[in-house]
Amino acid sequence: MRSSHSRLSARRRARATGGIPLLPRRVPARQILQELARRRPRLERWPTLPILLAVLALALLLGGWTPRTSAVAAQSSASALAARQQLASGPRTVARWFDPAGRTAMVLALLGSQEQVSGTLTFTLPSGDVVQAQKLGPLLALARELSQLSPDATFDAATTVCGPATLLVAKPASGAGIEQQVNMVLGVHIGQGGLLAYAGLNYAEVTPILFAAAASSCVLTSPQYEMKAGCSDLKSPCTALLTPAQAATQYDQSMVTAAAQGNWDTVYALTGQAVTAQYSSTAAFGALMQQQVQRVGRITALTPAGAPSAIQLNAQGQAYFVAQDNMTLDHNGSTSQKLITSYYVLEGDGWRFWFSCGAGSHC
Amino acid sequence: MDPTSHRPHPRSRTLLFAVVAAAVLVACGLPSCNPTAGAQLTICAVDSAQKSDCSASAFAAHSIIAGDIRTVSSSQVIAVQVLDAASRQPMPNLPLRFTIGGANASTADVQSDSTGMATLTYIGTHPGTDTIAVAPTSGATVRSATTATIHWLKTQSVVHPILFVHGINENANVLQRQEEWTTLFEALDATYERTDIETFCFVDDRAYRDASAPPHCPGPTTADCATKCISQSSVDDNAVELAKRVMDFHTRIGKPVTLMGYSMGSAIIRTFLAGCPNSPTQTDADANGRADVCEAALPFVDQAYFLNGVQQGSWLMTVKRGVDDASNLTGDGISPFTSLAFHSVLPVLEQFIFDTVKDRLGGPDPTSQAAVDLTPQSPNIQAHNRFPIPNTIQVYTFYGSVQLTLSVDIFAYHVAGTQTLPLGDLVLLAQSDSLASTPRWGGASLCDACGSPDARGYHASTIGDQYHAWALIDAHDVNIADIIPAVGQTLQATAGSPVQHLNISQPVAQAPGSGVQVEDITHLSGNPTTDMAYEILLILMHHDGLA
Repeated sequence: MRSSHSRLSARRRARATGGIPLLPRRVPARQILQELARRRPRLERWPTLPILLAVLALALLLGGWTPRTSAVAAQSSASALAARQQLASGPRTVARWFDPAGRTAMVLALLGSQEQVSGTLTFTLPSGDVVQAQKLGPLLALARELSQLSPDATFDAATTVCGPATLLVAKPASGAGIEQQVNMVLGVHIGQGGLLAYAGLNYAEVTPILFAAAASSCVLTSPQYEMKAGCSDLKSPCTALLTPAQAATQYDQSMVTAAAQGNWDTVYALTGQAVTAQYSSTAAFGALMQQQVQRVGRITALTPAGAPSAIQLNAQGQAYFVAQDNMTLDHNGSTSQKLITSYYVLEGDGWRFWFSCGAGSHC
Repeated sequence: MDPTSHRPHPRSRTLLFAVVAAAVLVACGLPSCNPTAGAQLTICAVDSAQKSDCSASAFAAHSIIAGDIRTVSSSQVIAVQVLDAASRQPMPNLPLRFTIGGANASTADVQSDSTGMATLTYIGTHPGTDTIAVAPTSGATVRSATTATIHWLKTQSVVHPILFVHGINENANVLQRQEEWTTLFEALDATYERTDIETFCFVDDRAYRDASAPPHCPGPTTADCATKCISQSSVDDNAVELAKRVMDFHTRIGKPVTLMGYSMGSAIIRTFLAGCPNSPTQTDADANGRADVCEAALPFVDQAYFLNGVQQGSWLMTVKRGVDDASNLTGDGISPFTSLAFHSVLPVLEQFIFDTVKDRLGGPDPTSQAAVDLTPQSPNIQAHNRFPIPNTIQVYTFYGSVQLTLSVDIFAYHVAGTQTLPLGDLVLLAQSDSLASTPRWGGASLCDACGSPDARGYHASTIGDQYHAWALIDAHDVNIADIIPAVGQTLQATAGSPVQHLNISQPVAQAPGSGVQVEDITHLSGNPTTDMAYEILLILMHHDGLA
């Protein structure tokens, strides 16, 4: 709205002063000729300026000129960020936690869908097998509560759930079924608006005796599998999560320092798995980044362009936020500036840099 | 209106001329008015069978094919579109030279017309493969150029019964009319007796409902065909029907039958080749639980071709039937932990693929028997996994293998992807070669006791010569910013891959010269790789001693 309003104002101002208004892109040639024809008497009196402008306009049309759009891009980018900040994400449909070190993950379906029943809990084991439980009362209650929870809310709850579950084997032995019925004992601790969690899991094949024992004493002891995503057990307080502004500033500073000093260890530690899992040593990552510095230039400053967005939750239950920076780049002594939009994702126990929006992306 | 009112003033006319002249001078300083502009040349093969007319609109819609299969002494029309690579405008009146290399080597000079198009019509007089290139002889340099491939075949009418089995929801009559797998049928038609290339009807085939069933289809098994003939009947029922059809075909022709199956058609063939071990309709099962009719028909099969076949089930059925959720998808090379780089995008990716493909599949009803059978670990799959394919039958498997790499931008710095995410043909993951494996999310590969695929995706039995498999590799690099927050063009392009399950039967995947190339194990094409349809023909010809 603002940019179209500005264009209109520019045209009005131009008409008032009698000059040729700055034309938007893809102006039909007929419109230019009409404009010239209307101004013919003035053209005869002061031919030089209109002629030059006409030459320029025609040349640009013939040459396929594309106007510089950095200001427009910056403006639309800022609007996009504002739009993202206003995104009404609606009720959460799924909650998702991940323990990169322990190679475990947990997903809780908060709202029922065509493919998933509300309250379905899926615990992924390091082998890729999953233990799945449905329709257990405490999980249903937890799902209801989390579905209404804002990521900024103060929320801390722990519970232990016992009952039947299904073990889904990723690669069963030949002829064996993928589904095995098991009894599970699951301890869950959820903290910080539902963003952080701990889960401990024990399971055993179904036998009537074990089921009776499990049903009588629902206590988690010495869990076989643990998922630590910012909480370390059922009782201890969860890690305090940085605010989006703090996390973005921390990353910005580490980037500028690394670009100046050539040590990329901190940047690597704060970058998400999308990068670090592909460059599994800081040395390999550092070498790549140094090459990029040589090729594109050194980032000398990253200045936040406003506050980052609030914490967002996408349909897949991932928590992220968006930040914008004015980046200053020094390439062989030549300095340039660019507005960059970047995403940060919650991975395990903290925010990690996710990606910056490149040319042609939908960011 | 005064007719002179628009006549330009003499001085204005001079001014206007000056303006235009100056504008041209200024504009010619810009790249698009370079007298030796870079040309982008795109070649298209005209083929009415594949509905390829190489019109300007076809070029605009990118619905062109880069090759054809013709019989010797017929003519082939090749069209080329010449655009200025910078401005994307047609380049008219440009002198061009077509260079034909291969069996019918020659050159021809033509000139592009006012729309930047030029055509060449030539007759192939020698069997073999031609590669056609085109370039300007003056006035422009080549910025980019595609080539076309024409396979010239001797017209023959070799008797070799071939039975094609279609996929779920499909209509046998569509195949009979060669509206799918057109290139493959073109190739087979040129060499083999047309009347001996038949299509199999499901027991509830849609062709019965249309009253358009191809010859030799026995008729539906249900009286209520108007509502129940939807090609979603059980794999087991169809496997028994296939056995009967093989017996009948062999009796009529007197030669071993070659089977070709696409998607669910491959599952039907696999169950038949296992001896229909789980047939609910069997009435005279032997002690091993096999249906006699299947056992009796097996000796009359010589080769089986699996084309994006559902060997171990489809992950899509798993999700559609509510057995598991797409966000838990795991497989060879796909898991939250073996592919950590993709961890943060997998849920989005899987949901996108599921949403994209499920609608294009046109169903099926997740409660249909076909959907149940095609779900990984179904009783049907577990049953046929128990029995190997008789070693008298040669097995050739082609399966899609879309491979994704993920690149990331960190502010100004670009981090290229190094890990690969194997997504199969999007409907089917590739997965394990083993006949007996039962992966949770299913798979398409079938190559018992085979080695690892080579760089071109080919692998074969390490002992003996029974199994050959080709992974139809299509690699895509996607920037993470084009997946999140919204799916962008590069990921859309991945979904449109020619090896995608629903695209593999189309000309874009099969036409000679297409991007889908396979290793030529016959060494008859004259090149290390060729297109899938031609390779299938060459294998058949090799078996029949025609090459």
